[in-house]
Amino acid sequence: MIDSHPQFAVVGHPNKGKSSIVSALALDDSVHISDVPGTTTKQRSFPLKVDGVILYELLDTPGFQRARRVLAWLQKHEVSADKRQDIVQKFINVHQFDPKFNDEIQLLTPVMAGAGIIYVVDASKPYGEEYEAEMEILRWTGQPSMALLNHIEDTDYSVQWKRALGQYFKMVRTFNPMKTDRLQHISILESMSQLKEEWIAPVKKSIVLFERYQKQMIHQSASKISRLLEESLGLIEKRSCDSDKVEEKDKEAVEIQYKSHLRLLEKETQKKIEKIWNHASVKKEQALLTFDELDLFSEESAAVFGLTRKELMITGVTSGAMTGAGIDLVFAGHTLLLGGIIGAVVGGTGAYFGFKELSEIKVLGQRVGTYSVQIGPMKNKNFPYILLGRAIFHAYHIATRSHAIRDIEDLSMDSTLKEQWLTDTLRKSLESSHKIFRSGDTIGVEVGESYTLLVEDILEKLIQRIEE
Amino acid sequence: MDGKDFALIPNVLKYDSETIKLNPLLVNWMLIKRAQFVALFFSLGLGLALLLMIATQDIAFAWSTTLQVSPQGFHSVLVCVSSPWSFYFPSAVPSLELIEQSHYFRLGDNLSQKMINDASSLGAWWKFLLCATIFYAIFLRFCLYLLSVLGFQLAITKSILSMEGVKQILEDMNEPIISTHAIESMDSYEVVHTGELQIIDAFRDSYNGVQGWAMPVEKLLVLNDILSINSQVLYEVGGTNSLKVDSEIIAKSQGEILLYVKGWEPPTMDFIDYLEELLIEVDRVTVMPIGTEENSYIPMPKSIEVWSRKLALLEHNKVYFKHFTQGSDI
Repeated sequence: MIDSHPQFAVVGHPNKGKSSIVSALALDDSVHISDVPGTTTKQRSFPLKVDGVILYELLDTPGFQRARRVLAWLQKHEVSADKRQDIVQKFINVHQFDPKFNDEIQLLTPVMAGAGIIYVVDASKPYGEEYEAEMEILRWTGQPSMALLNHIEDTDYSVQWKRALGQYFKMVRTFNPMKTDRLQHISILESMSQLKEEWIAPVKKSIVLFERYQKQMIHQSASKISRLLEESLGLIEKRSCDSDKVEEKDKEAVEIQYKSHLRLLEKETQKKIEKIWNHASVKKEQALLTFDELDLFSEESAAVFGLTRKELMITGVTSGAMTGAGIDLVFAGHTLLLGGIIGAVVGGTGAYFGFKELSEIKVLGQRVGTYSVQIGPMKNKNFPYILLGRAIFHAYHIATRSHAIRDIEDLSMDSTLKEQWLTDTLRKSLESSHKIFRSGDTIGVEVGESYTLLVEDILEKLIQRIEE
Repeated sequence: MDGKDFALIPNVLKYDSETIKLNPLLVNWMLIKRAQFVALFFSLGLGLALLLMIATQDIAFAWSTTLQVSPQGFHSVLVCVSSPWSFYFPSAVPSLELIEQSHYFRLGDNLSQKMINDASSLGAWWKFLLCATIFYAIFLRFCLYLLSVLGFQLAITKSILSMEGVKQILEDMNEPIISTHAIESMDSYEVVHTGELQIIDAFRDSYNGVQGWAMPVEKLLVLNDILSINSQVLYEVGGTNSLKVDSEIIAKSQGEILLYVKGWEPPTMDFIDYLEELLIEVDRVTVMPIGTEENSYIPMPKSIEVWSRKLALLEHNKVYFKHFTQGSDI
């Protein structure tokens, strides 16, 4: 039976990266990828669904195990080319419950049901004549097909592979699931659409939606980052104490509590972003990205993600001057523009001296005889940049990480990424929002939205840059 | 928000006020609504008290002023004040005559016998007083209360929009829901490692036969030469051979066989089938994975592991495994 939407069966020799390719194309990191051959024992479907309607479907299949035996069985029934499909179907019917041919049945069934064939080979290893039986079986099915050259390692045997594959497949494309990006993904989808004329429209529609999906994910990530900044900067932590004479241990305790709450907010946001990008497989035990030994409050974190003291001073001066200029405007310049100057000086020195300090710790009298010690909202001018820098660093790496990768990323954290997105103009725009976030008041929806747009723009530009 | 901010808001919201995060705009409207509600009841009480007084007491109303206001002037003011109900209740608009009759002077001619005579008509003011109370105190307060309810509803809508997750839900409702991942979760299939593999350290001086799985004879000659293997009987097995050709090779095989395999290719069931058939005919098979020519035929450690694991699963006493590392064999 031929379904109304295009189906593509990813087939091939065992252990040649079929699951990696499906994982990368379906943006699903739950696909079991292993270097142990024969891990995939059942075909598995990965549909692209839009509001519940399937536009196309990718099928991960087990590899050929007894290709020569299957071909021998088919060739025993020597028939004219127009009857070969019937013989393949007969093979499926006869051996449906034969455990010996389980893998072949699993991979041939969707193909005979009308799925296009995507034959995967590892072009980093030499071509071998043992592949010919597999390719011949696929030819017998009579279904539209293309070959994908995967490069599991760095060596390259593409030329000999292309020569051999060219005799069986009209289309041979290269696709590295480990290094895939949006453009490569779209290019493969376009090739897939060419397999059958009636598949062009649905796959093209899928490409448009896929791009929209990417934008949705960037927007959602930016929204989470904006929320993180808003919540973290406005966070207030309280702790009860016995008297209005606050001891050092109370101060320390509330600060520890405050810091761990901030760390938790960052961690939760990271998890949400990983989920948005389908990188939150439940089977994963460790975080994808770890900021090991680079704590949110460490000196290194400040050096890598934060602003330099000079940048901070400039930011402080600018924002102070803007406030002062507002006062000048109110008094129609009768302050002889002193407001702007004083604001700049106060802002600049405040930023300079507040480089390390997080927030002041206050003692609050509550009911009779009870006191509490409070810390927050965040006063440190550098903290928002450290937090934002880390969040963008994380989101950018998650967004550009292939779903076929199973390893923990080894990231070299330096300030090069920050230099790519943090411009002087942007810093000014960010600072005005940080100021509102730091106020501790409830933030209007529009402030959060404008901040989200700024972060979205940063992420989009960074992702586009890597594609270029 | 501090607990003290909740002092004037309904009790139900004071509960766990330390953890409730309310939008200040919402709190303002909550207070406005509550204030209007209280004032409305106050006005209703006022109206009720007036009705009770009218019913139980004889109210005589008079007016006076220090200002030079004529009854005509005062009348026009009252006509204006009574305009909201004058159409429906014309009798509730004080007449010029009533105004003149109820004009009270501390001194002078107008404190006359006439006023005393007209005392009974002074009670006619009650309709005006009642209508003024109903319209200005109750009706307008009720309108303000309705406005506060409306403002409160708008504030709720606005504050809901600022809540985390709401924006996401709205976006989800407006944007198409796109998903690409698998519907069902995957059953993880792990190979259970059982059995011990017999690993040999050194090659025999000679073998009864050397075979290469999907490897041409020329390649076998090269490998034999590199590894100093002696054997005159060389066969390519698997690959493009038909099953019949392989069976014939197996039939001819005997003694001890060295079987080269491509280390980078995984052991398929096709290979296992061949090996099992070969083991029936021969005394011993030594399987040796080799690497690519570019890698000087040295296989990757990962591929040695894959092959050894698969062969160990056979648990066959005639199967031996040989692997070489750089420098040791070549």
